[in-house]
Amino acid sequence: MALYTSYERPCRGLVIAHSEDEKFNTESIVVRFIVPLEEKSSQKYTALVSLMAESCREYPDKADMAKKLASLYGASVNSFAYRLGNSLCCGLAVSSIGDRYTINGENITEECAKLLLSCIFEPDITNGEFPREYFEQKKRQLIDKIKSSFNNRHTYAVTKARDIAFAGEPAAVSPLGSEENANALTSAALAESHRELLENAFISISFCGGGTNKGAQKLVKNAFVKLASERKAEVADIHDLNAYSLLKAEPHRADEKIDQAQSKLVMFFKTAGKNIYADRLACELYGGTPFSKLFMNVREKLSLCYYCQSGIVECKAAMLVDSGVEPGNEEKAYNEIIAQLEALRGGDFTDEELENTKKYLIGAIRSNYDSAENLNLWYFYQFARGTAYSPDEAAALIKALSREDVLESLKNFKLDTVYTLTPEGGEAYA
Amino acid sequence: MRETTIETAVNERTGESYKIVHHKSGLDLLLAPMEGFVQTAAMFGTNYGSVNNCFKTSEDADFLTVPDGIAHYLEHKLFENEDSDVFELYAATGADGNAMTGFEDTIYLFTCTENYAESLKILLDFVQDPYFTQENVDKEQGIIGQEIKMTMDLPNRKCFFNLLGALYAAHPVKNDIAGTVESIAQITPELLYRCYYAFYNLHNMALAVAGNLDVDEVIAICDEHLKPCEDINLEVKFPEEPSLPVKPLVEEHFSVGVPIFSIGFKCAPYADDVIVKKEVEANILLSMLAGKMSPLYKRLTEEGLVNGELGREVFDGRGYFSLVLSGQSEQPEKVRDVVLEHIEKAKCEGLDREAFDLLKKAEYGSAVREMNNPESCAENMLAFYFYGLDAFEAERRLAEITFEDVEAALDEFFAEERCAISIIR
Repeated sequence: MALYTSYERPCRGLVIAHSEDEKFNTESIVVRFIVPLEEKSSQKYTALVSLMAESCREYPDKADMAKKLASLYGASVNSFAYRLGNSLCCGLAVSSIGDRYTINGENITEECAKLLLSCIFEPDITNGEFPREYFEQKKRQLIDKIKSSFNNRHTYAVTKARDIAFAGEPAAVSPLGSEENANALTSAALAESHRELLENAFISISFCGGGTNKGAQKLVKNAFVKLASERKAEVADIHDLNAYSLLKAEPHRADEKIDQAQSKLVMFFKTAGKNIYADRLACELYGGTPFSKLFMNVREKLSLCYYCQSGIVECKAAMLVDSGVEPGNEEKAYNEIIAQLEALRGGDFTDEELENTKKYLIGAIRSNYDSAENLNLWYFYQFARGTAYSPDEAAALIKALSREDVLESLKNFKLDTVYTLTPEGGEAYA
Repeated sequence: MRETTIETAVNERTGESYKIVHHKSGLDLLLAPMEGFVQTAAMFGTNYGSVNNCFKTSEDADFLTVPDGIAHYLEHKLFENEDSDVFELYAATGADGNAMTGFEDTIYLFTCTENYAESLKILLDFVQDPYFTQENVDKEQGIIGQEIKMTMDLPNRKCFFNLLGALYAAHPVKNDIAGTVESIAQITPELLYRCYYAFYNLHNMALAVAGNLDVDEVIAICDEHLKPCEDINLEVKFPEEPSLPVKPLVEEHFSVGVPIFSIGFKCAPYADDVIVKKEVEANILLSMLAGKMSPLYKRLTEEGLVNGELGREVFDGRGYFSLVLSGQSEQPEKVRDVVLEHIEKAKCEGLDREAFDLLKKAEYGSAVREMNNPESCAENMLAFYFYGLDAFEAERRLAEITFEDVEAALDEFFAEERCAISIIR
């Protein structure tokens, strides 16, 4: 395995990471802008990056931009905006096959880098505004996305539960924002937010893939070092995105009704623990594997849910349990989910179960080595946690965890929020 | 019993290759060692999915028709052995096991970064060892019933299956893979065994392993764990399917933020030896007509009729071939009319040659990406194998395809009378 990783902070407000392995036949460059999650700006930034990914001054017409990408062997420029801790992480990523895989050995990766830089530094803004037509399209798209947020009942339930769990904190601010604010968006405000983002955001750049795009990397690095070193604003250097959340005095219960066939039950637990790997192992033991306590008991033994799983909420020291339950069985499922956690806290798991869970988790972590995208995310989450472990180093930490470490982690998780989404016409559960 | 023989599938352009081992047991093994990869992905698949609900073997006097959803039900039940649960066996090796049932195949898989040999033995053993009792079959009704209800809460999926119901009158592809709560209530241990022995014959299956593996070691494990079997001359039957859709429009109400639609064009089905070529033509054609560089996309977005790129899919298999466009719109019927108008315009005025050349290049890039991960490599090898092809076939067809082929396909694939739309609002 010829994996190359590096991490540098060439100037204030900028971090550059490489995770490269010659076995990959793709090259990607990810530019992440990290800013505080705020009601007044997050929606604008979400709409902005989406607009930036579709056209630029060089290719103002979306069709021309699409043609350019097709000519680069189907390269893509994608935007993203999501919450991590109390921060908004938004940006653009360009991805293509490596130069050596093109039919005639063309240098497409430098072309991709230039296109990405055009999208970021030279968006199609004239007289302080984006073209009216594209702006209106984007605004409509954003409003439709907000209106459609409950189309997928499962993700809607998890988002609603999350908003309750982190109510009053920046983490409860939705990157999509409200329909009312979206309606009030103006093209000029969005153009101004472009300047603000480049001026104020902490910037993380990741190069991932085969590592053969040195020319492209140089172009991107030079452009961002120039930007970061010439900014007037005092951009704070970020070393992690961890943001603990206060536990509610009493668990908050909420129920909502909607037309659907199956109830969704989502629970949030919070911890004051500091050992992320012990928390992850405990969470896997509880409901993260097909042989976990929740899977084997709530699903297999009692047939209460088709899915019932637990997962860690990155940078928030929280764990969520989500499940799809037969209407009327919500209370039974809730009681069993709590009972399984209590049993684990009481030490009701064998050394063999713990060892098997370790193997499963280590396997999942090491498999990141085989995907350029996953490896990039792995190292970005390491940055977000304030650490820099490789998958193998993290695997060694997990291997060394004791039964007591896991019991300590389980003891620290406290119930904070219970949210149910039940079919219309049924009894409310909460 | 045949002797074990080995051949090599090669991508003539890139030099990539993998081994096809015709194992003496009757099973074919598709083995792709990938240098530098830490993961092993293994998939034991059968050429049997939800559409195969009418069949006979050399031991049957006549064709047997079985309830909808039985292939998926069988997949769930194979995970339970007489004395253990398969997930618990995998737990000891650290593998991540799973299974999936599609319209045309069922695949049992695991991925791992250690102990692949032990996990492979588990995979081969449990798939060859069915254990169905009335009690364990009854128990599964609750879990699968919940799975069916979960999918009923997914409006995009609902919209797609409603479209299939509007396009297909008789072909079982119109039915949900998991069946219905009513159809799975008819499943018995006896029917599960009939399906198992018909379709889980090694001559109707294949094993694909990619990533970190040793070819000789995999063959040695297969020598030890595969139970040789005779070919039982499996035959499957599909009902006669009319060439036109059942109805042009199907609507359902389910609260969604913005109405969801799927527009389908029902085409004549293709034989196994040409289906990949047709698939490649259809993919390029859909991108030319409705992709981001098309006049249709420009008009739909400028007039505010759709709120993003249209989803494009070539939905095909044995006995069915459809082209599908999907998205969200406040005026889905108007979108359909504009789509039909642009198709007619393209038929009269011809297609854009520059767009064809660019999209062919883009499709090539996407073919290159597909073999860069053990899991997708194993999946690809298996999918093509069941059509009697190797995993590089799509790239070969892509290299051969001409602008004239795609122009001819425009008339072949699209006609207003073969169009149907499904709407959820």
